[in-house]
Amino acid sequence: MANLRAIRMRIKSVESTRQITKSMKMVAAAKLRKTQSAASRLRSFAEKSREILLSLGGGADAGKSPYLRPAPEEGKLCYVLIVGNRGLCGTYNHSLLRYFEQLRAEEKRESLLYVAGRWGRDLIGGVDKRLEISDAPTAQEAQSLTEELKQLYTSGEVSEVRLVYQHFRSVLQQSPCVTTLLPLQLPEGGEDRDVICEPDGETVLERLLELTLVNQVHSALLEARTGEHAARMTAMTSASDNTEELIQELTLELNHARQAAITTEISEIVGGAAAL
Amino acid sequence: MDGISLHVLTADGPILERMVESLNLPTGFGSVGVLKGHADMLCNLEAGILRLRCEEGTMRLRISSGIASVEKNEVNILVSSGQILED
Repeated sequence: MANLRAIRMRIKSVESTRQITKSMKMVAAAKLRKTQSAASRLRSFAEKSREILLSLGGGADAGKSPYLRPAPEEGKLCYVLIVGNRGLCGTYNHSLLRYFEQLRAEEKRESLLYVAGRWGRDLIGGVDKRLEISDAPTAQEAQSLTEELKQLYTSGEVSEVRLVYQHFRSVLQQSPCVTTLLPLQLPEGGEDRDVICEPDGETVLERLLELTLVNQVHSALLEARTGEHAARMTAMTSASDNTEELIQELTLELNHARQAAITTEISEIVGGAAAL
Repeated sequence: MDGISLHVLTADGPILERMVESLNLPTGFGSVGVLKGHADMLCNLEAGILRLRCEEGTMRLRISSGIASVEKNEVNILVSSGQILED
């Protein structure tokens, strides 16, 4: 009987785990939809700003912008590592950290490390600053992070800023990647249009480049968060499936144990009757 | 309606997309008026009130700083935030 009780308790505990994993899956799915739609809205905005930047063509004013100067071979680097806000999302955070550690080991230049996200407080060493980023990053969050990075770059403290995050390929696949935020690369394929610039070409280009920087940071944050929610949803789906399987196995085990107990009882009664 | 196609866009989605007769852009050197047939222009916008005239009358939008592009009777306004003001 003790065995039967133990199995029943185990089934109950697995069932409550299943409830938790199912809820986490649904929450992740809702957040995934939210970030995906935010990313698609941002895409059309970023595309329009890119079109305008192309129409300006850069021209003579491009050389004057601090955001466009060529990256020197020396000087400090700043890595912005965008990790998740929580765990329980498969290998999402760990594979990104492994990729980043390899990247940092291969780089000979000195570097600063900014971490965006709450995960891995005890795991990531040498963090210079930790930044709080919500589960659905807004334009304001991207703007304040960009301001901080711009300040770091224009003050000359670092000569290059790189973003390291999980590139969102699909709900089932994310891959770690690194992109250079600063100095900016002007998009190619622009044609010089005869256009009036108010107040002047240099100021307009500056504003456009600032807009491009914010868009790039916002897009990386959204992509990273979309990947995190997708990874959590996948992990929780397989966790729910595993609990189902476990419940089935335990139910079978319970039935066997119950049947064995009944059989023992019957043979005891039959044995007792025969003795009389 | 024959006029200017106006798009006011933010990173969180479009705020206003419609045909207008004319508009006044808030810039660092005062208000700049745009009518149909305006020359192609790129203009820095400062936080302020964007006024526009359309078939139904006039409209006002409070916008943050950004950039405006005028090209062949199409005006794209890219700002970080904006709000239509009720009269």
